[in-house]
Amino acid sequence: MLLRLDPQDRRPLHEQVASAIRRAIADGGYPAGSRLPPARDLAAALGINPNTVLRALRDLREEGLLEFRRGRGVTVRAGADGRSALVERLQAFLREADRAGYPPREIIKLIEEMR
Amino acid sequence: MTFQTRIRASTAGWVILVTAAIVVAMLATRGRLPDPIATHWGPSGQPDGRMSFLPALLIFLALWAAIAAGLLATLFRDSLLTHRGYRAGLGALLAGAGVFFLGLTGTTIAANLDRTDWADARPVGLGQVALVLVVAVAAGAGAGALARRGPHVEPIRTHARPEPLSLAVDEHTVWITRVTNRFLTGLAGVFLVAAAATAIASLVLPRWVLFAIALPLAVIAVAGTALSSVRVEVNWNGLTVGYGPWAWPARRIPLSEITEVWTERRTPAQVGGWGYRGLPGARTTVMIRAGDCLVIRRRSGAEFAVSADDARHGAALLDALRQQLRVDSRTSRTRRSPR
Repeated sequence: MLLRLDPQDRRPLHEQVASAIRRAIADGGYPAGSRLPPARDLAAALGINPNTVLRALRDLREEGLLEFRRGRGVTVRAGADGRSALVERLQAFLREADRAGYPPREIIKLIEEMR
Repeated sequence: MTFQTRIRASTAGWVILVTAAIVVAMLATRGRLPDPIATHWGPSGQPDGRMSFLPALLIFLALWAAIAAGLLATLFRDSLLTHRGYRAGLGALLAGAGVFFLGLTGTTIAANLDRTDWADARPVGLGQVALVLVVAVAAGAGAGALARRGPHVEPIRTHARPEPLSLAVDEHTVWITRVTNRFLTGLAGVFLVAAAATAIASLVLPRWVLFAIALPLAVIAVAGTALSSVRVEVNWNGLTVGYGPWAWPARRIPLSEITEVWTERRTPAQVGGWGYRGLPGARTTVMIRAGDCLVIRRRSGAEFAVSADDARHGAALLDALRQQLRVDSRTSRTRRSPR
């Protein structure tokens, strides 16, 4: 699993980790049903606390991207691949818009006007 | 009869032969042995432990059966049998173990023969133990050499070059994978249980059984565990391979050492089995399971491969980092190592 943490990113660490994992899954290499590396290995690779990784994984499970199964570890949920790419792009867009002076609530207003 | 069938038949035949020999030898001499028989000899060479006849026989058989079963279990794959190295290893281990158990039984019978009481059994010293071991090793070597003869098939290998990496690569990009073979982990567990059982059994068996059997079984269990799972990491420090569930011990190959990176699909049949395979210094593979491997060529020309999931991204990152390092050294840029 290819992971990159941007040092310029000022979001909470667990969010950055979730983004990195989302992107890795979207780029391929972890098809639906495949097992992710264990949280402690991800933490060791990134040089961060395993609890941060666990929090990111739980967030991704809430999102519907990952499944926690006893005996199988953390797996990619079927049908989730396309969604993770979209979520990732949306987050990147929202960050860019925020920097340009359009926080998420302004974007929501813009979307409402468009519909 | 195909070659594979012949191999399976002869190994099965050997296992049956050794089992039968142990049973027949013990039962045929039963009338001339005391009950209980001496099964444990102290450092002085004098008997100091005993066991009833049937439990002793059953324990000999159980230990032999455990080892033989573990080795025979690998005979399932046809493709393994056409690999010279695998046959040699299997033959050596089966022959050596069989001869060893025959020697174990023979020594115990000979010491107890025509004695009225176990305490009067003949002494068993280090010399006899050493003799049994030497004969077993010789038998193993002979069988291994014999088993090497015959076909040797190296299947064609798939070789995929790493794709260029889309994202900008810097010291904050890492790649991680973990590959585990649960069957191998389970097998190592079986050996651990056998080692523990033998250690406990050595309370009533000859003490040298503890060192001659329990210790090797424990060593196999530890080695098996270490080679049943691997963590592979690619980052600015190079390629790191961590063995076992705790990724320790770990081996790191720095980027400067690596001249080429690619991915291949390899199977245990191609490399001669599971675990650390090949010729150190020339071509080695850490084989956990059949499938994708990350392969590198080192500055010395030696090739090193390790089972890896998502290998293509690992190869892409490793290649990108390696090339970036060359660029940096030419322009004398220094990079801070990551946190």
